[in-house]
Amino acid sequence: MIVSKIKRGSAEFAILSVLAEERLYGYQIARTIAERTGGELRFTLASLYPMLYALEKRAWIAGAWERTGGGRKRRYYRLTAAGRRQLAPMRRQWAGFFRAIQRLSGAAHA
Amino acid sequence: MPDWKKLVHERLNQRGSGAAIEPEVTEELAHYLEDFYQAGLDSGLVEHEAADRALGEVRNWPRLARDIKFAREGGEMLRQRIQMLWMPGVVAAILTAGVSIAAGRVASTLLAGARIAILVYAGWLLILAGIGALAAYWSRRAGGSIANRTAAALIPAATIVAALGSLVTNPELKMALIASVFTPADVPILRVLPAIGNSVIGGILLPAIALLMGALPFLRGDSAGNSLRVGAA
Repeated sequence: MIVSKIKRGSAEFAILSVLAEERLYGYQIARTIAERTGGELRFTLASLYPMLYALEKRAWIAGAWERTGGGRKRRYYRLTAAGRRQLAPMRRQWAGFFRAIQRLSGAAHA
Repeated sequence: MPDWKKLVHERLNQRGSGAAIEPEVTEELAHYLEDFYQAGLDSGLVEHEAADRALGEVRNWPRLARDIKFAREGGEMLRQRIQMLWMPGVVAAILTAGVSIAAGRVASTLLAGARIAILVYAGWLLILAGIGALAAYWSRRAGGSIANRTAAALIPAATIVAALGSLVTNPELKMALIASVFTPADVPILRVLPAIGNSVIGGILLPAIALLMGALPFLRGDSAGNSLRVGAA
């Protein structure tokens, strides 16, 4: 239950993090996050798009239609300057959170 | 290969979704399913297996339609603004109104002299500091920015301004103010200026400072942020 809450809470952070490195379209965002987290974080279409649209509405990310290398039309998302500003404190918070959990976990095993 | 665009359009716009979805969204979701389907085929699935797997991405289409509509219309932003600003601010304003009425009653019934009046007034300011702290803490906990927290703490001061504006009960002051608008040269406005000044300082400025002082400890530090709020709860 707690783990699922943490996963859900980390979704925005995960999206902003992968878009900080490169612009991606929806399917690529889901695949990249799943690959990088070893499948621990996995988006479905139903969980990904409402969040993408909410982040876009907040102007943290911006989407635009483009052609892929194979000539397919896809909507690519990129991180905006506002999104980058949001990401920095999120990184600190998540790092602090996991350090705290590790300390607790270490104390439990000591 | 399934006609993903047609399929997405039909499922998103079925009865119960209560939301008309733009063609642009339909197209984008169809492309996602198409990519997912193709990845299934590439991994060795047969067509119907890949299609079933792709359709498994959405269990409840009407709910997805509503979620998308809500996100695209800024419902999420509005909800966050309510949680970060308006809820703490309005609750703080209600508390302030209640405390102010109570303080007024105490002052009018027990008032024996200036000393008690000052004590009641100081107590009122202290309680306002506590209310400012509560509003800023609540806003920070909801993920509010420093501006949100400050505004939430100051909303009670804004309501005091409105209340004082509508409750100028001193007849001399009221007449002087009205007359000064129409015949400014004939009215000794300087005579009532100290009263106005006292009202502004004692009734607005000092309460606002008290609210801000209370909020100060909660203006520092990052807000919990939306993503961490769920996990850390």
